[in-house]
Amino acid sequence: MSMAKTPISGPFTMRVELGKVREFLRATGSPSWDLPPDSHAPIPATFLTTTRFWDAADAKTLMDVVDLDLKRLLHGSQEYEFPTGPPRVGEILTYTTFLVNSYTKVGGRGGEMRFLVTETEFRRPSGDLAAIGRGTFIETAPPAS
Amino acid sequence: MGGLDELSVGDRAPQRGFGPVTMTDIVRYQGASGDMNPIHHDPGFAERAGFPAVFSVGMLQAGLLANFACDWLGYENLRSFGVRFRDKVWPGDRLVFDAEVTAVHEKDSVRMVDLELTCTREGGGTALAGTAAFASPLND
Repeated sequence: MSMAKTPISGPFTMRVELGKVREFLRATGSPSWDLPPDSHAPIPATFLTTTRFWDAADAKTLMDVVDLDLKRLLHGSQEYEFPTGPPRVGEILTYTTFLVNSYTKVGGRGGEMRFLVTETEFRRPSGDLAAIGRGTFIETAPPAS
Repeated sequence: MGGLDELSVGDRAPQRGFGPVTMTDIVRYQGASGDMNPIHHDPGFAERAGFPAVFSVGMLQAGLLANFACDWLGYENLRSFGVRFRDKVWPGDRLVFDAEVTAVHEKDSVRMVDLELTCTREGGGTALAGTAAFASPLND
């Protein structure tokens, strides 16, 4: 089932900062986290999860766009695409998040599970698409009443 | 590294392990990522939410798995990475990472290598199932 792209938040702008990339590499087990001060290294694959630090304080979330029970919400999957390779330390990226799909499935125990798919587009100042982040969130079936 | 050009379907990365996962690993990742959900570091909060203990952040395992793949084939060569979250990971778990080449093909005169990735809990099941695609630099 397809649906119109629904804006959730943004556009916001982030800077890919060396110190943050070093910290994130170390926190995700990379032995080569000790990037030198003049590094323009590519970001690790999941680094763009750090948009949290750049979102406006009153940024909307999926929960503002869809009526969800947070207690039943799971992160089902996450992916990132880098059409021309990962962005590098020093880059400035502008990003916007959309709800792009919503569908239901009957779960193992017969209740209805809801799947919500969000996409975040990251663009360079030129307008080029630097990355896409895509997450699937699952609202599990309500407990049998 | 020999190079993406030398890989064929079925080739596997040297397996890597991580662990035991500690509270400090979880807290360090939460600080680095900005995801401060207390369910991952506050035992009282986790118990009130119905869990026996705190559990790791799924995206920590995702980051570990991604870096395992990129340490093998090059961070700059990555074109996509994705994971499906299967089982939770708990403090004390030892994780094992595997990568296998599932396809080698040309796309827009660039050589692409597709990987299947898994993060497994020692003594348990699959925590994450993932895929990644890398582009060979020689044709870029």
